[in-house]
Amino acid sequence: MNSPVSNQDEIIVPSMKRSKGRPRKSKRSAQGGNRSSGIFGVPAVRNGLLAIVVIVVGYILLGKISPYRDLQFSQVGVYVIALAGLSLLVGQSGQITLGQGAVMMVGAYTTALVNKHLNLAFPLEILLSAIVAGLFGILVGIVAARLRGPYLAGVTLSIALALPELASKFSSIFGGDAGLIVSPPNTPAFLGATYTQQRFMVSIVLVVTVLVIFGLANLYSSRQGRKLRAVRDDEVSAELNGIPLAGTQITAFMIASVCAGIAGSLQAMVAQNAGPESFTVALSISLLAAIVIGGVGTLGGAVWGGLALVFIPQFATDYSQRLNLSQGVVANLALAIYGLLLIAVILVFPGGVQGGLLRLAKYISIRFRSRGSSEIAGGLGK
Amino acid sequence: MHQFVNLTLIGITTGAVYAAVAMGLVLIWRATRTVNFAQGAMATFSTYVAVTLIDRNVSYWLALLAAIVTGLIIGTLTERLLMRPIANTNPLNPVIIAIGMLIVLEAVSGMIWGAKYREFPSNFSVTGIKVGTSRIALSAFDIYVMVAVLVLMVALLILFRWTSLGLKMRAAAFSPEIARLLGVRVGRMLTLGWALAVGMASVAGVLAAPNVLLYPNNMDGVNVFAFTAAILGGLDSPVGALVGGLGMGFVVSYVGGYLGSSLETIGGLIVLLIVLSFRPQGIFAASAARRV
Amino acid sequence: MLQIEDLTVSYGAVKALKSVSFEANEAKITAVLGANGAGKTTLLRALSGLVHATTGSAKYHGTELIGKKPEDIVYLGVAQVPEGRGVIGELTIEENLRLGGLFRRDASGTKSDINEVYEFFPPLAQRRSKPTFTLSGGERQMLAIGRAIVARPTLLLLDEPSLGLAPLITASIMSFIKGLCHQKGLTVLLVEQNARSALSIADFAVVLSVGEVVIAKDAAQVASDSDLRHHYLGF
Repeated sequence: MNSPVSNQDEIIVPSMKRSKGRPRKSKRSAQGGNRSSGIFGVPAVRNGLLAIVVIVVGYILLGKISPYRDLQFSQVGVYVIALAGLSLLVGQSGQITLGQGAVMMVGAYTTALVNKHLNLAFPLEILLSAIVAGLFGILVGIVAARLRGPYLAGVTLSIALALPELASKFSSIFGGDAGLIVSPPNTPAFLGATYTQQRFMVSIVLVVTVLVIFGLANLYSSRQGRKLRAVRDDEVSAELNGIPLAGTQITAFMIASVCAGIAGSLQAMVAQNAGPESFTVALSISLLAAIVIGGVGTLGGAVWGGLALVFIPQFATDYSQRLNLSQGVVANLALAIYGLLLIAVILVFPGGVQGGLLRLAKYISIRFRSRGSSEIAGGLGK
Repeated sequence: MHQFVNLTLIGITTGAVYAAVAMGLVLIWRATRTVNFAQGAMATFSTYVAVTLIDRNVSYWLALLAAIVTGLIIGTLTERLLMRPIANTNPLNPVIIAIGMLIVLEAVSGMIWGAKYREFPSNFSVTGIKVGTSRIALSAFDIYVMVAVLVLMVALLILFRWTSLGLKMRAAAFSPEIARLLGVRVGRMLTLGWALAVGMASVAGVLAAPNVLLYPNNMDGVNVFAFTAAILGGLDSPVGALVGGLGMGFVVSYVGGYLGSSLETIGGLIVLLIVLSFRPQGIFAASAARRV
Repeated sequence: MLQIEDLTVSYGAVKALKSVSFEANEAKITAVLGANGAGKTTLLRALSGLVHATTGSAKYHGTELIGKKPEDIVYLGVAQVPEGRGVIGELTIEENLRLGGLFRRDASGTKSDINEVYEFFPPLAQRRSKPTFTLSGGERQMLAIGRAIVARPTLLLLDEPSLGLAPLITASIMSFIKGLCHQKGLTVLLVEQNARSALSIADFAVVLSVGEVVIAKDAAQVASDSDLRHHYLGF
């Protein structure tokens, strides 16, 4: 039960032993830890170059995939954005939050309402959704700042349950159970007639996803990011070092909510609809599961989580349908496979897929270097 | 007035069921410091086992016993096979495993027993008792449920407050390493905690079934309200589970009765927010311990 | 008598203890001293079974401790007071003390031992039904030692009882430990970074440095050798 690893801090960093008050060295290392030098050592520059590369490669790859996949990849992008924010929040606070789907709903409805009542360009719709969701996030953050563990989970779960009900109840504003129709952005003429609406949408999602990840990557390595990590590692000592606890937690909620708002906005454009059925508690729970599977506190984890959310259920359904079983059994079998995969991934990668890959990479790099230094060997133990 | 009395009675009876489920959550929380999001699905599975036996003319009480045994087995297997390997990893992992279990168990229940609503026979009359000329919304079965919930709560209180087994379980949950140094077999305590909690949840499932009908995910809604109830009362407190359960029962009943059933969850949210803003760890929490 | 021979503990590639050997005599206090990271805590954790020793042996009254689980080692009369006042903050004081005697068969003996602890430490008695986190650092340390007494051990392993305590409180805890050793004939292994106060009560001293035993002498000799004190113990 008790791994001897817990004692390692003492051996590797002897001087840390008595100073329990200082924030521990981050175990779940975030993005900003690389030690390259020169201009590429500046995180913003490095991240920016990476972002451009991803957009170009993504654009080329989009040309190759079949139109049928456009919708799926749009969905992946939407989830990645929501998960990237959630990753920061959960990784930061180490707390269970089940409200990310509900905040997506706020974003989606903002886009739908703006779309219906104002005539704005779509980037402005996304921006407004981000702002409204961010404000909502601040509200939730104020409530949540004092809550911990299951108490926070309970409140966010209740929010995730109550919001869709509000939408159904006030149907004159929110369109009831059917939701609101969203007319998607028009495809610019210069892209040519072969460029379908779905293709244009997936391009938007790709660009926005990369921008969001770029922004968050810079945030992780910024002063604000360090504050967030300090609070995660040790609330009390962070507070003693002058980092406002509640303020930092509220900031984390706001950032996560801005991401959710953007994701919800895009979701509404992709689905051309914003309705309560798309934002049930199940979505919030799935998002939490996905980010834990992907790797909490990492941006890579958000990407793995987004892929898992779209393709695991797809795989489970396809597989079940090939077995020639009755329809009722097929639906249940798909669910069972999905659930089993969820469990299996956690058992195989307790640190999430991203954590597993990082460990693998470290292991390989040690293998190929001369006998690894004790520092690296120690780090592997976790 | 008549409506108010009936809504109050309905509040008490639904609240009793929430309290029963909430006690399962309290038990698992005290014994392992995890929230078992799969509890509802586990309870439903046990309840299906019970109804299958009742269909074959087994008595209600034997079927209840079978449900408890099923729960004990599910709890034991969950701890041994799924929770133990991920001990000492990311504390969110048990939550995700539980969510996975929830999905798998509901799917398996659906595959075995079919996705249709089933009646669950009750051992006592479910028609309201006659008071004077009118029937009130309180049946013999409701009284049975309330008594059962009280018995469960007292049993939990005794277990945790006065028995050395309960003390060992709590020590194992709070501080496994210190517990081991004092001779407590921590692994065994965790297994026992899971087994008892799911056993208790199975009782709750059987108690709830005649009122909510049996369906693979029939406990989802109940479980959410019960979770809210457990939090209202304070997850560490069996008495809190009862008070929270009844409180949620009243909220759901009054809001549903006077304002419409679609506002029930919003009512629950508002009550939760008000209570937690004064008592961030629930009504019956011991004064907050902040670990330095 | 506790006989430690050739005990080695590694975490991955790092050796925390390198072939440590010494003996702790019956009814005496043996102090294990050394700087941070010298391997003191690892030594105690290896003895109580919380970490697995790579090689070597530790026999108490001839019974091998290495390879046994912590929950079994208690039954041999070995009690450990973990570092950082290892009490369970969420439980009450009384519950913490009861925990100490849970593995014992005689409930009445446990009860009288708990009352004895209350007599030793009256502040604990006043607040017996309060959660432990309401206690001060010194009181927690008393509780941790008290709980170990309730287990009625013959060998007591203490991990830095002075950590973070005011000098006056440290002194009273140290003299209590000494009294305990004499009254009950307890064998005590006292791990301390605070060498001065440990040496004031110890009979024998072992100094660890980077996982190795560098000195094993009578405590009085160590205390009087100023070169040695300067070099290894920093006072």
